[in-house]
Amino acid sequence: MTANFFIALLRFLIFPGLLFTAVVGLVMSWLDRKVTARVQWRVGPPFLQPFYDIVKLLGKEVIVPAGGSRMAFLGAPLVGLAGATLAATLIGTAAIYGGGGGFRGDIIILLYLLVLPSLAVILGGAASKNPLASVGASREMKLLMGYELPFILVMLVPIIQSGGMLSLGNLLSFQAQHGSFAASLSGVVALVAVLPCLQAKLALVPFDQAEAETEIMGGALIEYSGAPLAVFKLTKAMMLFTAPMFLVVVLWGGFGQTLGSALLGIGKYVALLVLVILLRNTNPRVKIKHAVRFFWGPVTALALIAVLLALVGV
Amino acid sequence: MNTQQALLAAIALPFAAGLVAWLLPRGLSKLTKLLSLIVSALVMWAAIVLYRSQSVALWHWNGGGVIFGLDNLSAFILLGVAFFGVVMTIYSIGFLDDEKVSPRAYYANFLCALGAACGAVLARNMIALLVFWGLMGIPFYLLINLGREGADAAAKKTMIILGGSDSLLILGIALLYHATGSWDVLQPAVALEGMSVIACLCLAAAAFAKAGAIPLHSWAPDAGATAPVPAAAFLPASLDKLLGIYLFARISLDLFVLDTGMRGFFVLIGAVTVIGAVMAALVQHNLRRLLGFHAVSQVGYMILGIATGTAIGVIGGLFHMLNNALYKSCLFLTAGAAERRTGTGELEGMGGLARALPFTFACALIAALAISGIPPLNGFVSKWMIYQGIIEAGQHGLGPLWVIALVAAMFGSTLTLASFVKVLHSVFLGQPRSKAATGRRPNLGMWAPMGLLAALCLVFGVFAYAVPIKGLLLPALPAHLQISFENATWQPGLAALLLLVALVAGAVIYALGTIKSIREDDAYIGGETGERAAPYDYTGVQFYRTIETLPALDKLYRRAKEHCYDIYDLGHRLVDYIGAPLRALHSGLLLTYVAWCVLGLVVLLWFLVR
Repeated sequence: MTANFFIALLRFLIFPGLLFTAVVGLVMSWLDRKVTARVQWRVGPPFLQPFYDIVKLLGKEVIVPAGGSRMAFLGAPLVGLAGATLAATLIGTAAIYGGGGGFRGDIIILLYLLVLPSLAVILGGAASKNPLASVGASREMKLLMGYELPFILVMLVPIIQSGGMLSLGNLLSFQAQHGSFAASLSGVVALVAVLPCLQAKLALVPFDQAEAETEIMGGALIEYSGAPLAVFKLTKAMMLFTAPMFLVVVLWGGFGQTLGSALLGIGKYVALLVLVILLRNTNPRVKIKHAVRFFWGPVTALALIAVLLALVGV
Repeated sequence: MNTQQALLAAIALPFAAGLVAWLLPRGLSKLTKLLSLIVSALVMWAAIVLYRSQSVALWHWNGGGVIFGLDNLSAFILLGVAFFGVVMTIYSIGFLDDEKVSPRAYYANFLCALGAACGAVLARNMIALLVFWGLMGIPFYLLINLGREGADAAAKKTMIILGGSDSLLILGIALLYHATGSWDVLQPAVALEGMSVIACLCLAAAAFAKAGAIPLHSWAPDAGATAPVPAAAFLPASLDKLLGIYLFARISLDLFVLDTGMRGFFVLIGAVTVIGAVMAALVQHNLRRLLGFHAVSQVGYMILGIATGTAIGVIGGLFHMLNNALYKSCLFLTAGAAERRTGTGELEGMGGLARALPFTFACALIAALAISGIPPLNGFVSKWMIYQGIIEAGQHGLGPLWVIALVAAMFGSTLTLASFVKVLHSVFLGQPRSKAATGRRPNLGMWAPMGLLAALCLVFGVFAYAVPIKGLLLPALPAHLQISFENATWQPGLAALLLLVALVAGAVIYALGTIKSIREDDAYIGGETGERAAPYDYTGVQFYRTIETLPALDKLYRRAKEHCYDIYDLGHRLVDYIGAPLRALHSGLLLTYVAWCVLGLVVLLWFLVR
């Protein structure tokens, strides 16, 4: 028990949990900034810039809004970090060890854990005492409502195709035997439908209404400074790893057992991420009303088509 | 206390004490409260004795048929009923203002409601079940009626919907007797054919009305909004769920062999209940009415779980019933504390209470996250089990309906989170309202129940398999519904521990920074400070304006405001329509009435002389 727990703790804190995900996530946020800069004909930041940012923030003064709840204001970023770390650990161990590795995760658990970073932003914004932060919190929640519906529908596709399987390990071995879900027609449609959801989950343009610097000055994050802001930034970077990886595992075959398939898996992850970055750079921010309408309208319709296709078996 | 005595004590004691409480003079309200506390504690003791006895206690009427008795399921439900009886009595004593709510009437009705509930759970005879089920309506009506403005209308609505469903219960029991020839509650299950289909539907309607499932739900939000707070937490939030779901579990596990069609019908009702009620809750601006709609929405999950008929679904459904009673009554109690502090029940008048009511905020936060299914709290575990039940049932004959049910349940969970984000923001966080937080602080009698319920939400989540499932749920269920959770995918203990480790890791990151030299400063609101920033406050009314005004949804919400989805108001309109010609005759003119009398006499005369 104790030895097992020690290994679990190592996996959780070092690899593939907190430390590994944070480093990969920060590197990916560099990639995001670099590609964005190149699209805008700028040079872009040096490789270590995201790390500098975190360190710099840790050295800054922490200011909390007077008369608000300190417990909620300072606790909220930690909740998001905890959720992102557990999600990353479950996805990472499943991708590397299949069903084993001491961790078991399934689609439902991960759907719920992946909500925690958004919830942290919402609670933090609500605890900020600032009306603009409240607007941000409200927008974040409305966006979450918007994209969760098609996201849930898309998650039904692997469940239907595999005949009711839920756990990541089982889904991976099913895909290893029968080919990845993304190879089927319903899988392709599902992947297309889930892409805007991924964009929103990562709070990237055109779905960054909750933070919209130019209209509500950072929204939910307006009052944050110093270490709590660093934790939020770190969580956001970790989501750059966790959320696309989740889709690679449940829809796109994961990493497989051989070196070649593992490289292919990394390629799939990077491809998804670059697609997200390009979308972010070629679209303007939409109003929250239009975002919700977009997700409950065309995206949900597309996801429904994917589910129907999966039900008829293609 | 032997089991026979415990059986009778649980039923007779509350009624006797209720009578005494009613007879005690007004001046002795302290004695009334003490009496209620002692009696509810005794009922709890009796329930524990019965639960632990493991033997089937029976009580016969003069050596005739069995009237009362219990099996594992009813022992479990009785334990829940008695537990919430004690908790709500303590809160009532701490919360209720003797000036506003007469203690004599309140405690007398409270105890009678408790006694009737125990009687209904312990009934082994269908007639006894019917009698106690119907008897509950009276104290319910009177308890709700003690509330604030609008309570009389809510009480009437409750009485009519529950009373109407009681008549369906009578019909259902009669048809069941016709089919089987037995009055026993634990009779062998009958197959669904001919009349027993109607019997099943009638009994289910009674269960759904009591639990508050759509379309028989509309009394629950009204009662939740207007009844005295502890009564709202006791009736629509905990007691009615326990009883309604108890009856539904009896129907689907013991009394009938459900076929796929009937299961599908129940699953559909569950799915509609989850989504419909939570959509309504999303746009409520009165805290307790909002909670009332969630009390309806959560019933959908229980029905979904139990209707699947799979082991994990049934366990999940019953577990959800228990969890819902815990967090929903906790939420009502925190709402009471917030209401008392601010003097208003409207979200717009609250805000920023976390500083004034830190303990209440902590309890409300835990309960709100639990109802939204945030891991590792109890609501997550039961929802996770229900989803698996739905998927499993989908692989074994439920057809594509499982997809609709699963999406409704999972998306309903997101909407629940959205609704409670609004509550947490608008009541405890957000911008403090100028008049808020001047009323009375909560006392020990309010703290203790809130804290206990919130702590149980945590314990039932983190130790889900070891404590509630192994200790309470599995013993209550028959052998074919026993499953082991040793290799379950969700490991709540490990997950909770790791989440805690991550929180500590986050705190270490804080410590690496300059968290020690923390500074407080006013929030920056476009340069405006103090009173001048007040117009920019963002209240609960604005929070989901976007959703309310979306195309298609705006029409739905407008019609909901016109009570188009309320079976009570629809019935009201129907009666009005039928009665309109008759009403036209009542002109109030004496001459018209005399003319009618003469006309009637002429007709009578003609009839007699003919």
